[in-house]
Amino acid sequence: MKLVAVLVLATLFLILIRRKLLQVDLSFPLFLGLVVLGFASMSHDFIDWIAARLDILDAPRAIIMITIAILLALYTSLAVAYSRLRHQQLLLVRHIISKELAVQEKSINPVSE
Amino acid sequence: MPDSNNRILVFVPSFNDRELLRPLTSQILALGKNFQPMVVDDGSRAPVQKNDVTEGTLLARVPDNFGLGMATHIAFDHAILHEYSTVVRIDADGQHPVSLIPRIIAPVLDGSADIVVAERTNRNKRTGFRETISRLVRGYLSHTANIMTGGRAPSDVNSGFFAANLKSTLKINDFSLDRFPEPQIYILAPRNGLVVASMKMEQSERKYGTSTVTLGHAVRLFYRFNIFVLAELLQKSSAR
Repeated sequence: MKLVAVLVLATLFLILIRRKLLQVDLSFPLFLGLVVLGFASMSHDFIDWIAARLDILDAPRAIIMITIAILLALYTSLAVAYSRLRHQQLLLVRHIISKELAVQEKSINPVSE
Repeated sequence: MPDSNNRILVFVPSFNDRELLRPLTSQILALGKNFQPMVVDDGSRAPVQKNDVTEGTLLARVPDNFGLGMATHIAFDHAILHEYSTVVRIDADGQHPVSLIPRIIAPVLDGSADIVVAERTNRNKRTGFRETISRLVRGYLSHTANIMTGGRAPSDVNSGFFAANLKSTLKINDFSLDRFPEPQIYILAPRNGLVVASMKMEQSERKYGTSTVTLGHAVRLFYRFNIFVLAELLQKSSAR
């Protein structure tokens, strides 16, 4: 069952990339990291090893903590990207409207130019 | 009355309320040749057309509903680019008498104020549950603005009728204005060294349409105002 869940996750990830719905950009390694972590966490040896490295006593929690960390990093990078895009969109709209208004201004008040 | 060197840009943000735009823009043009009306259609379902406004009116059509902050930026951008000495904002629903425009710009033109706000004397006279909640929220906004500006903000920080000189538009335009930017403007102005004055006004009944502030908007406005206050306290008026 675990293998099926991870395979479904990996397949979805591949479909998103092939259909170019998910761009290979700065957030891509984080998505990839989630899939790799899914496969790696099927191994008990890996879970014990990573828990020991992170000084986490309850081994399965290490995977949960890493997943939360990756999701937080994903959320932050997407939030920053969204804020930038929004700001650029607003500036672009203002710029276009300013050009349109300048044409109107010229025809209404030719002396002001 | 302003002299010929003072060009006044009067902008009217409009969202699904184009019915009064023609008489409103006619009244603005009738104030004198120095007064230039501008309508900013903020993504209305039925966009404002040229024949909805009087000839000689500047018409800006925003492709989607971005809010009053964007409309204000558009007007300020234009005023700065074309060197208007003063910018006035009035609402499109007929609540702000055009006849008061010469009075509101007078302190700006004589240099005694950078921004003049028309405070509504009848804003707390209605009754009912919705109005009680609105009054409490307005009181909160007003007190917070008062504390943040050391008493230099107007008592009515939600008034949409104001006049600003070129210096103010330049300063305020450096900040990113929200969907409902009035409290933001009236707090940022004194905190950035601008002189804010006020005048009393009996606001007319809405002649067309309903308030664009729904319950959802009101909650969002309240939330965003508090985020703005928090950001101001942490970042101390850093532009954009």
